[in-house]
Amino acid sequence: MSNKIKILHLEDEQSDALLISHSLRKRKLESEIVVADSKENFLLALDEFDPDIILADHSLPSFNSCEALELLEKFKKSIPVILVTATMTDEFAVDIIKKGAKDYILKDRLERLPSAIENVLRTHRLELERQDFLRQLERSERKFRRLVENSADAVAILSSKGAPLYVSPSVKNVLGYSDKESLLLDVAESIHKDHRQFFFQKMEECKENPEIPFYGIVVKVKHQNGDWRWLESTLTNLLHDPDIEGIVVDFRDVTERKLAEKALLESEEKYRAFFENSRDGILLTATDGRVLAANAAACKMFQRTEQEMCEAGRAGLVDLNDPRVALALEEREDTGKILLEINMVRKDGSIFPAALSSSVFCSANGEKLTSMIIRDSTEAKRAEEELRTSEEKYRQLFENSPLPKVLYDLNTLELVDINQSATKHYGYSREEFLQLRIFNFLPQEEIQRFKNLRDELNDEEGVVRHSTVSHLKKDNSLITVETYGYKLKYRGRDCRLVICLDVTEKNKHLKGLKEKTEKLVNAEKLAKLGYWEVGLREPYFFWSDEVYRIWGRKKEEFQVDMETFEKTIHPEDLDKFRENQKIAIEGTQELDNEHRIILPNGKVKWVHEKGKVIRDKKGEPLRFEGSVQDITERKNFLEKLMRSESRNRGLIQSQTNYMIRVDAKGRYAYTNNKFQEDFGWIYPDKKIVGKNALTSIKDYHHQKVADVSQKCIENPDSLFQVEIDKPARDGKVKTTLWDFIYLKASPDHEGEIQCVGIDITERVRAEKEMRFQANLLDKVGQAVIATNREGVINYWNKAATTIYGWLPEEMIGENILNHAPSGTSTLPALGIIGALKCGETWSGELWVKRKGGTEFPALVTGAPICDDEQSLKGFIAVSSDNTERKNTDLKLRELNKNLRDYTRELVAANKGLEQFSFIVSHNLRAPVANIIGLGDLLKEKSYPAEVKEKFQKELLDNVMRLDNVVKDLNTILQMKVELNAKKSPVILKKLVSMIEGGISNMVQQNGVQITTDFDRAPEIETVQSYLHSIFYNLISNSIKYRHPDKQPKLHIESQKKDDNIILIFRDNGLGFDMAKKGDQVFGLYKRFHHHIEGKGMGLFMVKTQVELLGGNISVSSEVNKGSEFKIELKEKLNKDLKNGKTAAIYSS
Amino acid sequence: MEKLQRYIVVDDDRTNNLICEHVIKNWDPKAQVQLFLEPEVALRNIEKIREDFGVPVLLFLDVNMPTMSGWEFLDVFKTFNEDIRNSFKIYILTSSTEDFSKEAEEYPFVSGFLSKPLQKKYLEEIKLEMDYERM
Repeated sequence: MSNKIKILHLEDEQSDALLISHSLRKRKLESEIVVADSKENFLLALDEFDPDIILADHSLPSFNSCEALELLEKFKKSIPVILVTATMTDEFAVDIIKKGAKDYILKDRLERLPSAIENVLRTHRLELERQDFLRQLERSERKFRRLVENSADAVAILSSKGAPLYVSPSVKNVLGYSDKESLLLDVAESIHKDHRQFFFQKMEECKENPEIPFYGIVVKVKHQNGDWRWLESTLTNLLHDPDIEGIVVDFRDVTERKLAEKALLESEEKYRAFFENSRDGILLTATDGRVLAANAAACKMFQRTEQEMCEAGRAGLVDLNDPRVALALEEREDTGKILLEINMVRKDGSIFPAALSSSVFCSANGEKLTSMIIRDSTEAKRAEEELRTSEEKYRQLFENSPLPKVLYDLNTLELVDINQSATKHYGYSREEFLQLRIFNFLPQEEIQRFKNLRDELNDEEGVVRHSTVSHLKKDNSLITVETYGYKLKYRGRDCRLVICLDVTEKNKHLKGLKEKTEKLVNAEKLAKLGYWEVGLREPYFFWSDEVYRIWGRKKEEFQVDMETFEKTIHPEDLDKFRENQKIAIEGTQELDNEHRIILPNGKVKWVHEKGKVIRDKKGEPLRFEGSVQDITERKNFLEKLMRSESRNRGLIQSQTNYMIRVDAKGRYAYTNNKFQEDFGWIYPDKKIVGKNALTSIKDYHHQKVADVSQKCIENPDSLFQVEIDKPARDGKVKTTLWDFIYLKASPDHEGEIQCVGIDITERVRAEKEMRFQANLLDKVGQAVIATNREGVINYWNKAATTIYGWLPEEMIGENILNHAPSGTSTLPALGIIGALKCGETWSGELWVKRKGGTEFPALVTGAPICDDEQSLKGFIAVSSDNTERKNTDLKLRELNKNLRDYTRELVAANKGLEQFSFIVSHNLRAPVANIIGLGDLLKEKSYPAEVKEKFQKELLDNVMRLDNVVKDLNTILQMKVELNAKKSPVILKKLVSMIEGGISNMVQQNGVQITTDFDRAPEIETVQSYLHSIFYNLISNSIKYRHPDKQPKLHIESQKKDDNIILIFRDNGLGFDMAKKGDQVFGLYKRFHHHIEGKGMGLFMVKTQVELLGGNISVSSEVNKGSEFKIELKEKLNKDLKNGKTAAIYSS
Repeated sequence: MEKLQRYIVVDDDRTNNLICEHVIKNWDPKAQVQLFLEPEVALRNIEKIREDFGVPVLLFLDVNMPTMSGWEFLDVFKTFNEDIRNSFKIYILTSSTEDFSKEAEEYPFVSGFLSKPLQKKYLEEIKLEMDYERM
């Protein structure tokens, strides 16, 4: 503290200020004091004076020390302040120090001031220093932080277990995680599984060797984005270091490097492969000629091992005699590379040409090395040579060819090259030609065609196209040219080589020749003459077209040579043919031979061959040439004639045929034996010859014979057939069939009619028989259909047409199975017939179809037709239309049914009658029996008077009973008579009131209530008396059989149902047991109740009457409830009544 | 041999019943005869009759009766106990001339078919039959 301390004294009291300064001087404190007495001066002094320390009096009028402190703070002046004050309370002291004062001095203790100032300053200085240190520290920390953060490397501190304790922020650059995220990472997981073990192993090693950094630990770690990155890390164990307490891992991303390494390795491998596998020899040499490496191909080429190659060096491999070597080396020096051909030497000393490519390069370590690529060009050289010679050859061919050859560019159509012939032929000179384009020698019409073809030509490769075109010569004459074109490359251009063959002359000749040939061929055809040639010196065969035609073979198919030719000759003629040939060839005799040939279709032809041998100068046979003619017709004709003649001869003496000749006058000129036999008897002298031919012919044929004879003579050599009846020996007629032919007159012979005949009497008779039978079959009324074995119809008689509709023409030839209707019975029936054995027949009814499709029943009998050997020839069926009969049948059946019905009715009626008779007889007999009984009793003995009286009474009673029954019978029988009574409409209401009136007493007595309802059917047209009786009986019955405990009620109503009227009688009376008595209720004399009077006839009568009226009655009842009677009547009576129901009377 | 002494007649014809009564009584003076006009009543009393009469009882049955025919009577009779049935000897007594062979088959316990009027000779024949049976 050598400097003066600058003190700013904030004091308004001058005296105080002096005190202070004095105090300070006393203490020998070097200072400079400035006094400020106001805020303004204070501030000014702050600025200008820049004090080291401030002494402040607390109580300034305008400005106290607190304010000053605040100002200092505000201006950020860290100048220490000591407060000088007269009084100081503790609180105030604390307060002021809080505000920033460093110390305070009491005014009466000023001796403390200097030391206080010194202390404060010292403290202040220390404080400043401390702050400075802090700042430096901060700065340093920041520096290192920055370094660490921005480093490409990341640093992590791992616990001994491998958990991250600290990770530098730069980890984000390396692994993409923020440092906070990295702390949460599981290190093991982040490391690729292949490297995990290795890493932790290194960790262990590291832990065992503290403070020793382990360099170059390369592992794959997962980047935050999922990629794997190669990290090279350095591990250092600083677990014991109190500042670190962990393993420091310093790691950086070496992915790029790794990838580059990998690429390099691969590339190396590639080049190694290339080096080793190259077909060309590759050598690595030094510029001085040392061979450093040689690949397999090189070794092979030089026939040395790599070792030997290296030993031999360049000198040993290269042919030093080759002058090019030196040149090469020079050039390489200059340019660093060469490419040339050079002779090399193999191990065995042989020299071979090689293509060499060599270049100089610097190796990694700066050494100059050369690479040499050597290709054995022996083969190549040879090929080249060959090509050259071949080229030469072709050039020569091209030039010297006698045919014009033209080469033109496909694109420009210019002529590229032509040969000598072309120039000669077309008339242009070579120079002129080469100016031309193709179009120049194509005529107008060809140009278009050529243009069209051009595209095709362009596409063709290796195809020789042949066509015929017209070309123009220089003199504009047109020639016909056959061109052969071929696309090729010539000197790099797409060209076409065309060979032109002038065929104009040839064509002309050919045309002429063709015409001539045609003429010749026609001539041949006409004459049926063919021309042939056989080579004798050299074997060849030539046949003209006609020969082929004669032989019936096609030129294309038949190969003519001696062998095949001989095969065509008829075997019988072959020997003769061969002999004739031999003679002809040997001698001077010409070949003149007729023989047969066999055509491929088996036909036989006669040919006449004429030929001669052509010899050479020496007389040796050159060829055989001649003609052959088809003489079949002529031969056949002759043969026919000969055969006919021989036949004739045979015939004449035949035993079965007649043979005669009649002269122009009609007289027999000749007869054979048979004729003589059969007809000789006609003539008394048995001589026929000379007699008139008509004498042996029946009169009715005379005209016919004369006509035929006339025709014959008019048409000589034509055959006429005629049937002639001649008299037979037994008086019958012989029918004969004759062939007449007129043989013309010739100088030797007169004209004669030659007749050949046969006896056809039998045949005629058989025919007649057949015709008769056929007629018969035709006349038969039933259809006769015959089929062959397969069912094809071959006979269909007239009746079949009538019945079935089809004509014989339509059916003969058809299969009957196709015409059978598709009914279920027909086909199986046909099947049955088809399965019959000879002699069996089948009959049945079938549903068949007639023409038009209608079906009808037919009665069919079928049988197989067998010949004498029991073999099946066919089938025959006779059928007739069964419709009528069926109808009749049906009618009959119906009649039968009706009959049965009537019979049933009669039987029922009869039964009824029986019943009736029983009932009546019983009712008659009962009283009679009683009478008899009583009579007997009376006879027996005498009885007391009252008994006798009783007997008498009973007797009379029974007699009366008897009488009543008889009367009843009468009544019943009478009913039938009344039937004829007239019918009239009856109003029901009126009827009921009438009846009520009649029985009014009974009604009143019993309190009977009768109700009616006839609204629906108020009236009926009927027999009034019957209806009256019906109503009366039913009404009185209901009253009679009333229930004792109920008021008797009867309700009668009428209803309409269709044409009928229904009457219902309903009462509430006693009723009866329907089950037990239901069927007896209408029976005669049937009563159900003992105590009620009645004969039991009422309901019987009602029923009878109802039925006589043509209606019916029914009842239903329940005991103690009542009964209901229902009657159904026709609304209007009609005639039915009379006929139908008489039987009703007798039914019970 | 003693005559039967016990007789029943079932017939709706009063006269017939009278005749039967006299004929029976003339033939068998000791006879006890019960007459029924209604077959239903007879059936109802069948038990009583047996008790009253003892066995056997001769029953003459008519066929044609209004409420119940003789056959219907027999149908009901059929259902009675065996010993009841065995106590009665039944004869059909009818004025009908019909052929009752079918019914004879149907009702085999009917001993015979008789034609009205009942005669002394019928009774004698019946007695003879019964004597035979007993033997």
